[in-house]
Amino acid sequence: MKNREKKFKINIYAIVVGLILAIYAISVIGSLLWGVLTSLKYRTDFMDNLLGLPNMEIWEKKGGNIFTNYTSLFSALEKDFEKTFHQGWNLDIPTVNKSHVDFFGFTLNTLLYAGGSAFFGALAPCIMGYMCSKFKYKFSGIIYGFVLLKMVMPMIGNTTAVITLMRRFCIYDTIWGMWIKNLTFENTYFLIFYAFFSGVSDTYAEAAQLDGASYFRVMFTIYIPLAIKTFSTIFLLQFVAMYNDYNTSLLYIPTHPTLAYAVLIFGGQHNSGANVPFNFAAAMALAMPMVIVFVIFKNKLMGNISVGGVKE
Amino acid sequence: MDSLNVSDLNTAPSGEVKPKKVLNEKTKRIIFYILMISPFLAQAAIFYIYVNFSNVMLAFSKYTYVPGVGSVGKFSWFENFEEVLTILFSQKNVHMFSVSFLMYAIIAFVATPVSIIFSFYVYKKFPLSEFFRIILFFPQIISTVVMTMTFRYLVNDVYTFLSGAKGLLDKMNETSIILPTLIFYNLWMGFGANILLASGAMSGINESIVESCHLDGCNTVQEFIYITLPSIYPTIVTFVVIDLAAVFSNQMNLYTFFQIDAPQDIWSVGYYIYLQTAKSQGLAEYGGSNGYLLYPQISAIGVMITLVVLPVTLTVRRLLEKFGPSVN
Repeated sequence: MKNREKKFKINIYAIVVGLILAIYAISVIGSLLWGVLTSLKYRTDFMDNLLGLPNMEIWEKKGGNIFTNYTSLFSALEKDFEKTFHQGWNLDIPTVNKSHVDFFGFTLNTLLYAGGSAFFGALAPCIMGYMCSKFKYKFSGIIYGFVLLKMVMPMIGNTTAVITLMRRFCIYDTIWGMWIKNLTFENTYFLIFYAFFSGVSDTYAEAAQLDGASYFRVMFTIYIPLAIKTFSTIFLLQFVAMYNDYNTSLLYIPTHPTLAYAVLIFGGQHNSGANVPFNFAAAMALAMPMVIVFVIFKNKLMGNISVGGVKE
Repeated sequence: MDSLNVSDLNTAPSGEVKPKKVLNEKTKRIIFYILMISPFLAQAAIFYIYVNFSNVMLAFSKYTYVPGVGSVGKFSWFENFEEVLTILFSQKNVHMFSVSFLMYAIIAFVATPVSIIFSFYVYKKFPLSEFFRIILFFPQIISTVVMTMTFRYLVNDVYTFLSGAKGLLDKMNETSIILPTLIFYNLWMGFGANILLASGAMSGINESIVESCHLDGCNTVQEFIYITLPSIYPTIVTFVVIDLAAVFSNQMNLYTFFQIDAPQDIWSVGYYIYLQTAKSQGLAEYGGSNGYLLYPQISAIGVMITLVVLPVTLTVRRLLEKFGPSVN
C-alpha cells in the first residue's frame, strides 16, 4: 500500500513534466500515424487530401486498394547503382561496380549487412571479454587498457582512411568486407562481457577440464552459452542500429544498398513528380519490422543499462 | 600397439614409463590464448591503429595517378592543411563552426537537462511513466530516414496547407526559419538514448538515501536537485564528454533532410566533412578535381579537428570529474 501511494503521488512537477511528455507522445505517434495514412492514399489523393483518411473511391476507380502502394513495392522499388573507384595495394586497379537492385535485393543486402555485422560485432567483444577475464596474463591487462584508451580518445574524420584501406585490401563495396570492419572488440560491449565473465566462477572450467575438455570446448560449450542473453541483447541492439543506418551503405557498400538507403533516395525526391504515398509505403515497410522487433524484445532493447556509474 | 592415443596414455599402468607429452598444460593454454585473440587483435591493429596512422599520413600526402603504377603519394608537408584552412575559414564557410557550436550548446544546455528531467519522471514512476519511456525510446527504433521524411512533409506540405506560408524546411525559406526547425527536429528525436542511460543510472541510487531525504522534509524537486543530480553526476559527465567529442562530426541530419543540397548557411562542420567524403568520386577522390575536397584534404581536416577536440574533451572530463558535486 505504501509503495502504491508513493508510486502515484502527484505533485506540480509530475503535472508539468507529464503534460510536456504527453504532448511529446502525441507528436511522435501522430507523425507516424500520418505517415501510415499517407502510405495508404492514391498519388493524387495525397495532394488534394493532406490530412484526411484515404479516399477509397479513387482507389476503386484506379482498380487498386489501400494496400496497392505496399504490394507495388515488390515491383516498383528498384534502381541501378554504379560506383567507379580504384583498388589494389597501389590503388591501381580501375574498378566499375554495377548492380540492379529490387525490393528483394534491398532486403537481402540489409539482412546480410545488418545480420552479419551485428553477429560479428557481438562475437568479437564476447570472445575477447572471455579471454581477458579468464586468462589473467599481463597482456590481457594491456588489452583492457587499450579498450579504455580508445573509448576516451575520439579520432575524427578517418572515414577516408578506412575507405582507402578497404580498397587496398580489395574488400571495399563488399558485404563481407563490412563484416571484417565490424569484427571489432574495442567498445563498451567488451567491458560488459568482461564484467559478466569475471563474475562467473572458474570451477565450471576446472571440472570440465578434469573430464578432458579442451580450452576451446570449455569456452564454446560452457561459458559462451552462459552469456547467450547478453550476447543476444548486444546482437539485437547492433542489428537495429545497422538496419536503420544508411550512411554505411552510401560510403562503404555503394552497389549493395540497404532498405534504409533505398528509402533515403526514394523519399528524398521531394518534388512535384514524386509519388509521395509510394515513398511513404517504402518508409513504413522499412519501419514495420523494427516495430515488431521492438514489441517482442522491448525489455532486451530497453534493459537497465548505465554509463558512468552512480556516486555512492 | 598399432597406435597410441591420449586415453591410452592416461590409463597406463603405474610404474610404466609414460611417453612424454608434446605440450605441457601451460604451453597449451598460451597457444589457445594467442590463437583466440590474434584475429581480433589483427583487426584492431589494422582498422584502428593502422587506419589512424594512415589517416595522418594521408593528411600529409599529395597523390597523382600514374597509369600502370597506380596512385603515387608524395609527402607534401602542410600543403593540405594550408589548403583546407583557407577553405574552412573562407567567408562562405566559416559560419559552419558557429552552426556546430550552436548545436552543441543546445544539446548541452537544453537537450541534456530536459532528458534528465524526463528520466527523473520515469524513475519516480509517475503516471504513464512506462508508456512515456517507450515513446521517448521509439525514435531510436525507427530509422532516421523514416522520421526525417515524415517530419519534412509535415513541416513543408502540411504546414503550407494549414498556414499558406512557405514550408519551414523549404530550401527557399530564410535561414532564421530553417535552422531553428532543424535544431528542433534534432532535439525532438534525440532523447531516447539519454533517457535510457539516465534512468538506468537513477535506478542505481540507494533507496535509503532517498527515504532519509523525504524524512527530512524533501519534496520532489529538492530530491531531484540534492540527491538525484549529484548521484548520477558521472553519467551527466559522460553525456557532456560524448557530445563534446562529436561537436564537429555531428551533421545534424542535414544529409538525411537535404542530401547534397542543404542551404549553405545551415551547414555544420560534420555535414561538410560527410558531404565531401560521400560525393568525391573515382580518381578525383585522391588526386583529381571535381569540385569536392580530395581524400587527403578531408584527412587533414580530421587530423586538425582531432588535435583540437581531443585535449579539450579530456580536459573538460577531468575538470568535471574533479569539481563535481558530492551526495554528502
